[in-house]
Amino acid sequence: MAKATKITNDIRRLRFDANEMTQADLAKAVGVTRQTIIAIEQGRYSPSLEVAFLIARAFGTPLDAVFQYPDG
Amino acid sequence: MNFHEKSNMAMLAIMIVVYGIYFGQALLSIVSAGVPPAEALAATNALMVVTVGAVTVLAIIAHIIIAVLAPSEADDARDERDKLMEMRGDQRGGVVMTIFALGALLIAMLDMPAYLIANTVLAGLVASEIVKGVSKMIGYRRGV
Repeated sequence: MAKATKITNDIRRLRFDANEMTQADLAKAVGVTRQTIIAIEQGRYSPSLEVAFLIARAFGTPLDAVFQYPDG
Repeated sequence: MNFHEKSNMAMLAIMIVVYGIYFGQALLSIVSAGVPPAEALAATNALMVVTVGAVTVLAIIAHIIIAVLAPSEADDARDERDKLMEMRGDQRGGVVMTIFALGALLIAMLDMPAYLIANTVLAGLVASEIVKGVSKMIGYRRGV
């Protein structure tokens, strides 16, 4: 069972909304491997702030539209 | 699985099998046969060189196969997640290496045969690499 982080994200939905952008395309835009994008999407890896901002930039959205941190 | 994860799995398997044969059979038979220390040192020196050579050759072959099977991923580019796995593996392996180094120090202080010191150091290097490999494997599978 994967060790989930508290950080949630909407990357899958944002990729779908961005003309069904592939994980490989997003990985290339951000400069990480496709496996890292998969791990972030599945909540198995919390990216650095820099990668988080790069992901948000790739979708043209603010950071909190991509990543959320639950209250409490 | 990316290239680094496959590489890690291959190295882990190679090290467990090859060093398992070295420590589990070759070294054990020399120690249990009661060979004089000087002869035991010469025997384990030769076996050690052959074993390290075998690991190196098998590692090269394994990486060629991994690269041929997925050429598009066969680069050495590491992203931040790969580096984090590497760093955590190094930390955990370092603890194991330290324990074995202290063991080798103790063996030397007790004036025990040199081949035991050499093999304790090798065992430490191998054990630390295996711990590092297992740490990376779990990190890649379960997340960090």
